[in-house]
Amino acid sequence: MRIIITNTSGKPIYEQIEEQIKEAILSGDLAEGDLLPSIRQLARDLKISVITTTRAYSDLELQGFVAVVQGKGCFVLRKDNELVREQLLRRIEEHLCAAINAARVAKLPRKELERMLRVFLEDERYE
Amino acid sequence: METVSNVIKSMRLDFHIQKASYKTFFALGYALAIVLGIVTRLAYTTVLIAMVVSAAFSGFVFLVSERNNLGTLYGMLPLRKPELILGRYLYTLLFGLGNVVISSLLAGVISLVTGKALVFLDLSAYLCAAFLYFCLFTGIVFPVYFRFGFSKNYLLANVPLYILYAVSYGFVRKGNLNGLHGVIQYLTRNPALIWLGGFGGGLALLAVSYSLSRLTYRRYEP
Amino acid sequence: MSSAVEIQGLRKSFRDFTLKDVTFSLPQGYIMGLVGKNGAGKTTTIRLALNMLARDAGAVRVLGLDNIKDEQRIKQDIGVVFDEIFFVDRWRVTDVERAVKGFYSRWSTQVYAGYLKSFGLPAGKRVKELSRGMKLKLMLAVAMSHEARLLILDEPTSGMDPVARDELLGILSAYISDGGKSVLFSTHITSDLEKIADFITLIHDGTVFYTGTKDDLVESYRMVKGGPRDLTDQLRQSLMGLERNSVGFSGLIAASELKHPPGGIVAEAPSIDDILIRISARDGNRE
Repeated sequence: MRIIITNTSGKPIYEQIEEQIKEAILSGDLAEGDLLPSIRQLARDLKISVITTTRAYSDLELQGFVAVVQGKGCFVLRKDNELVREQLLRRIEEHLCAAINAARVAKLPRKELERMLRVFLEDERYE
Repeated sequence: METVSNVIKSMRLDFHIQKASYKTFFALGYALAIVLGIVTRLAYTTVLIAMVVSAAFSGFVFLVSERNNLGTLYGMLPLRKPELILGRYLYTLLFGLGNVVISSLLAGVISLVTGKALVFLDLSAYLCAAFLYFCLFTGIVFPVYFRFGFSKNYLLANVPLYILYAVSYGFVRKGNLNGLHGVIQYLTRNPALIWLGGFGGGLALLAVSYSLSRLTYRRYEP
Repeated sequence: MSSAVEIQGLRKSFRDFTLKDVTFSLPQGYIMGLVGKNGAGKTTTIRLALNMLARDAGAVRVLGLDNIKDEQRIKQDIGVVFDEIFFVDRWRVTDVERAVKGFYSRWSTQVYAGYLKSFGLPAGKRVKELSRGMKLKLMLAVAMSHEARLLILDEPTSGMDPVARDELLGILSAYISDGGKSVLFSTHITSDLEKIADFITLIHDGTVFYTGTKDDLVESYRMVKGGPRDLTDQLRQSLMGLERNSVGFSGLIAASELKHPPGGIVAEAPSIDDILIRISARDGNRE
């Protein structure tokens, strides 16, 4: 599992951890049943506060991505449940809005934007 | 209440503190005692010098403590100050007695070198007087150091002794030894009193000094 | 959850400085940084907690016990590191063990030897021959060789290069990794805390300015920056440590007071340094 923290992104560290773990789950790098590093081990490895990693794991648990088992650790839950799908949809919306905003600043015509989307769908062989 | 084991631990710690410097000190101190003994051709000089040096050295532990921040060490260790005080007095007593033994051995060496036999009575008198001096010296400076610390006070702490020296010197100069004659005669007939006076007196001085330290010590740094 | 350190209403007056109403608590298993500029009261607080100074008022509990009544019991379980070494300079590293081990019922010679090895402390070297960083490691080795459950460090990293500081933080991090041990350390080098502190108590001018998690501290304030014309009167009143120059201004503001940042203003998360500097400056705004 890959987690990299940056001090320059402006995003709180616990958010960065959450996002990267979610990405790993969504992309399949982390499978159901995988054991995440302990809260304290992760804090040591990343050289951050234990409170931060605790918060990240709690948030992930609340959002349904992981389950914390007392005495054992933090386990990844099944990927396809409602909340995960919702998260993915939300991500799509975010990225689309970002693309639209960028297009607006670049003064890209609407037809051009739609064409770009179609091209990418082709290239990426999206079914 | 002071626990016996903590007092012993404190004594051991004092030993470790002294141990770090005693080689040099003793080498110089005993060397000086031997040299002066040979120069004056008198073994008893050696006894006196050795005890004077060891008396000065017993106060040295306070200097080392202050210079090396041991106040913080004591603050960290599970050791109460009353235990430290009692431990230091007991250790100093042992140290003094140890030096009495060493002084007599050195006196024996001088006697061999000079070829002059030691007179037991005289030797006892000098040893007892030296031990008494040792106890008087440490008895005066310890309460001062325990309450006020070492660095600003070691000159002042010795003042009572300077007065004592001055008085004794004046006393001896005046030649007012006639009164003493009677005392010396009496002591010669009852040598046990010399030992009693020397060691008993010394112990009594240390006991009084300990009580004073115990009552007036400063628990917290200012 | 039990507390490693609990301080309530601590107070101590000196001739020209008073520590008052110091209250904070460190839960077991975490690291707390005691921050503040030099002279703010950090060392005094630590000495009071260790009962090396007499307090005027307040209560201190360490590892669940009263710090005066149970002082001896507490000291069996805590390790202390100060910025100045407190061993006889002529002692060798092995002498240090001989001097202190008798006092601790849970001293382990193997553990001590292990630390000497991993810290690279030669057993035969005399204390006075050690570098500053080595002296610190020696105190640390002693502190960690008798199963202490709480480490208290007073300015451990002052005067140390970044490499040595990083090493120390790694050691402290490993120390608390089982969840049963805690660390309280005072420092004015806030970048150390950015890395590993869980909790922060910020002492300013003898009182506690903030105590709580480090994350909350940083989230409670914002560094606000803008152009010269963006500085409204309302904004100026709420900003701490306001600094102005020809091309703009910057200042610290409580996040709660910045609900709707006016356009043109940049608001970002402050570093702990920022917070410390700006609250110190607020007692005299720099123009």
